[in-house]
Order: sequence, then C-alpha cells, then structure tokens
Amino acid sequence: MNIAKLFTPREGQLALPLAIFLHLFYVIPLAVLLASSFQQAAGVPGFSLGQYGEFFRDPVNLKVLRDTIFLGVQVTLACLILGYPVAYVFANAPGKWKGILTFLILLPLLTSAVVRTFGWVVILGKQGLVNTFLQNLGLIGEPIKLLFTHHGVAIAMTQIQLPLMILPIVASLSQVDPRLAAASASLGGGAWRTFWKIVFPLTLPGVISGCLLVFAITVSSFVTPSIIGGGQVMYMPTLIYQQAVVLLNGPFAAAVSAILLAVVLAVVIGLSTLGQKSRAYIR
Amino acid sequence: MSNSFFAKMSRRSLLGAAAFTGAGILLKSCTNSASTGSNAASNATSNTASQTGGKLIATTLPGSWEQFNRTVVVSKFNADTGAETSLVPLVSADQIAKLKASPSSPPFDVVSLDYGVFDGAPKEELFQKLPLDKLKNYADLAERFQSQDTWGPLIGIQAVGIAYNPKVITTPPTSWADLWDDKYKGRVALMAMKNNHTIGFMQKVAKMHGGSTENLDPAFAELEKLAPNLAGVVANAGALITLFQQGEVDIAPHDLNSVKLLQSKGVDIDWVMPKEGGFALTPTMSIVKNPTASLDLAATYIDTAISTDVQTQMTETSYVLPTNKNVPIPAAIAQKLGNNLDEILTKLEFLDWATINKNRTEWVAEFDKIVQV
Repeated sequence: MNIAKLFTPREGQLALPLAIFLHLFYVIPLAVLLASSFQQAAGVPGFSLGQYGEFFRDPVNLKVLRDTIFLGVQVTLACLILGYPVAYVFANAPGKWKGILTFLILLPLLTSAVVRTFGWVVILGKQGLVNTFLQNLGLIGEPIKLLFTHHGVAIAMTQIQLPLMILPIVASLSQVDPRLAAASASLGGGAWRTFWKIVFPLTLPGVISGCLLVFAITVSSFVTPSIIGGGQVMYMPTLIYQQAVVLLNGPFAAAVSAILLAVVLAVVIGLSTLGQKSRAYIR
Repeated sequence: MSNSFFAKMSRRSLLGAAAFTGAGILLKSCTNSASTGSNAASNATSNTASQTGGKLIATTLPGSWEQFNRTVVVSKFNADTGAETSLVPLVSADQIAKLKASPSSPPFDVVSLDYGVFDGAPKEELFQKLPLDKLKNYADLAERFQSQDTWGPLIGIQAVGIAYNPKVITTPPTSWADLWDDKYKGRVALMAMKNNHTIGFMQKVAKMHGGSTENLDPAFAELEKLAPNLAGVVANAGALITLFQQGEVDIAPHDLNSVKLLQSKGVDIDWVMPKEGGFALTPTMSIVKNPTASLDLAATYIDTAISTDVQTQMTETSYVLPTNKNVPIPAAIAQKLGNNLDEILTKLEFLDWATINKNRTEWVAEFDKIVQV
C-alpha cells in the first residue's frame, strides 16, 4: 500500500475529527453499557441474560415500556398534525413574514426544557390556565386532573418537540417546485387534490425525518416526564435514572437502556426504509 | 439513511466498535495508574503547603444548603486557611454516582450528602475514615453524635413533619393520620419513594399501624387508602415546592428548613410536628478516598462546618438543627420543637438506614406499583 495515498485528501477524512470524537465519547461508553447489561450483578464477571429476563417478567416494567412507546407515537402524531399546517403557512408566507415566523417557530428552543416544563406545571395545574379557562367557559364543573397524568406529559412534550417537526417539513416544502401546483391547477386539479396528490407526497421525506427526530427525542427525554408525570407515571428514562442513580442497580439500568435503544433503532430503521420508498416514489 | 446503509455498516462498525472498546479499556487502565501517581505526588506537595493555601473541591446539597455553604462555611474556611474552595451543588445520589464513576481520581475532595444515601454507598471504596486528630471541634458535638470510628460527622439535622397551607387549613393538623382525612381530598402530595422524605414517612406510618423498620406492609396498605386524597406524587422536593407555590396542594410531609425558606419568600406555608413525632434527615460530611487536596485541608473544611460559630448561623438562618451542643436554639425553632437539643431529639426518630438500604429497591418498586395511575 502506498503511504502517500494515505495523505491524499479524501472527503471521508473531513469527518475524521467527529468520528474520533464519537468513538471516544459515544461508541466506547455504549459498548461498556451493553457489556454491563449482560452482568448477573454489578461487578460480577460472566455473561447472563438475567437482567433482561427480570425486565420482561415484571408487568410493571412492561407497562413502562408500553407507556413510553405510546407516548412517543402520541407526541409524534400530535406534532405532525399541529406542525404540518404551520410549516405549510410558513412555506407559503411572503418573504417579510418569514423572519418573524422563523423566530416564533424557534422560540420554544430558546429556553431550556426545565424552564418550559415548570411553565407547564403552572399551566396544567388544577388552578392553572387550562382549568380556569375551561371552568370560566362553563365546560367543566370540577377541575380536571392534567398534572401527574400521561395526557399532561403528552401535551407538554408536544409543545416542546414541535419545532423539531416543523423545521424538516419546511425544508421539504420549500423544495417543492411551485410550478407543479400551477400545472396541477391547469389540468383541473382542485386545491385539495393537488395537496394530497402532489405536495404532500413530495414532502414525505421531511415528514419522516421530523417523525424520526420527535419520536427518538420523546421516548428518551427525562426532565419533562419526570416533572410533569411525577412519581405516578413512569417512562423508560425515569426508570433508568431510578435504577442507576438512586438504587445503584447498574446492570439492570444498562439492560433497560439497551431495550430502549433497541426500540428507538427499530423505529429509526423502519422509518428510514419508509423514507427510501417515499423518495423512490417521488422519482 | 437507507436500509442497505445499515446492512452494509453493521459488520465494519461492529469491528470498529470492538477495536475502540479494547483501546478504551487499555486507555482507562493507563489513566487510572497515572492519576493515582499524580495524586500521590500532589498530596505530598500540598501537605507541606496546607496552611498557606491550596485548592479544595467540596460538594453541597443544592438549594438553601448551597446558599449557606457558599456564604458561611466556604467564606470562613477560605479566610482561615487561605485556601481556594470550589463548591459543586449536587443531590446526594448524583454525588455517589460521580464518585463511583472514577473512584481512583474522584472529582471532589469533601462530600456533603444525606446520610441515608451515604450509608447505602460502597463506603470502603469511596471514602476514608475521619482523621479525628485533625479536627479541633469534634468534641463540641453532642455526645450521641460522637464516635471514635466514623466516616464523618452529621453536620445538621433536618426535622421532617407536616407542611400545610395555613390560608386553607386554619386548624393545623396534629397527626400523620390527618393526611387521610376526607377533607383533604385531592390536596395531599408525596414525594416519590426514592426520596428519603418519603422513606421516613412510610416508616412512621408503618410503625403507627403495627409495622416495623423491616415491615412496611401496613404502610403500603395505608398508601392505597390515601389514593383519593393524593393530588400527586412528585419527583423531588423542588417539584413539591412548586405545587405549594401554585396552591396546587395544601398538605404534605416536608422538612422545617425548606418550609421556613418558602415562608421567607412569602409563600403561604407553615409546619407542625405531629404528635407521633417526626423524623430526622441528617446530612453528613466525609472525605473521599484519594483526595486531590491535602487531608489537612479536607479535615479543616469539615471542622469548620461543625464549629459552634458556623452551626449557630446555620440554625438561625436555615432552621437546620445543630449537632454541636454549644449552639443555642433560636426562639422560632424552640416554639415549634422545644427549648434544647436533648428535648428536641426525643421527638425525632433517627432512621435505621442500614435496614432501609437493604430493602430500598424492593420498597421503591412496591411504592411505584401502588401509586401508578
């Protein structure tokens, strides 16, 4: 092998600093984590599937896993339904509005998740904005319980994740050639039909990457579920924290983390296959 | 990212990961031996220079403890020794987690954390026994807090009783059993079982209903009956405070010092000691194994925290009870708890953490099972 060849610049080499960084601080710790999930107990050498068995035997843990996936799906769908129209308005807005709209869309990202979450505690409480509003309208007699419930977590998470859904869809929408819509109209396609037959399929890659981001971040988020959900609704990240940090049960926490990772990976692979198909459809 | 991308990547990346893991383990063993070497060296040099400066990294519990440690303990210690102290605010469990992550080159020299959590940690691996000969104030501790063989002194006592909103609850509660009263439907809050406040509360409830330190079953049965009154189970003390501020809950087990801090911020909250007695949460201080700072400096820091001067300020400003017997009890505490330390301590149960920590995992799981909605 020619040594000089090693030093000729190639595109791949530009990614080398990040690759080294990720290997040192992500791949290695991940390998250590996976290794420790196969321990019988902390510090005991040997290979065992005991931690995984323990997880799947306990119905409480299975409920936690189910709730986590359900939360991910709920928040992803809510973000999609709420986010797509916003992205559509943004893409079709006149230039001078775009600056203001960008600012508004990014606004939730400018404050920390902790601050936003405590804000939601105030909003969702029994004497909070939502309940006071509904009571004053006469829609409900008794305040409804939102704080410390799954729905409360889903509502707060949707607001927090929304920008991550909107931005990829905006990017997709802005690539759609406006002449396509005009062509559709000239051929007698109505606005609704044009949207479903032409615009929406063309933005599927954006929709899918938005869903990916929102789902992966939702199922692995810690602060919002632990503060809004409290001790009464548990999700995988809160379970991991409790086992690893409070109960010092490292191997079990590692096994729970590995299971969460597997779920996220399965969704990522599934959605990216779908993304591939949608791209083929566009061409 | 396509499917074929994953398929193509897997073998090569696995190999790469394996190679890097191997390299990582090698690297880790190298740094371990290197850092213990440099620790020994720095210990040797700083030992000689300990009275004229040096650096110390100490942890503190967050919130009012951080404020107190920063303004009182650290400033007095720095003035006395000429040292430079960095204070790291962390909750107890996180302190242990950080120490466990690198026992041979610990990120702190002195830790200050809750004794319940401290007792559950692998003490021999992470901490060293207190060098009593280096402490001047140790003999000033109340006799029951002194021991010739100790990991570190208790630096204060937090009394846990019932916190309530006096605007809504005009007749103060008198018993832990009041939390089950029908009139507090949907107004009671508890912290999750991973918090020591709730461990202590469950211990109290168990003992009121025929249980014992090992047997919490009666308390779990009572917890099920508490469900209609429970507005929520919160993650931690910080979240509980938010609920009180929002008027979301009116009554909850909490400690006197947190309640007094809230009161001083204008929140409608007050505190009573139930007639069955409360319990004590006890922050402790300990020196880590292989500290970077000199042992003299670390011992002096702890000595400062238990000095009469510092503990008097702690009792007056933070409403944490002293462990130093020379500290006078201020009127605000005397009115709630009693005139002298001995009288107060009879009303506070000191929990058996060794037994609790043995059962903690099981109890937390049981508690979560009951409160899950």
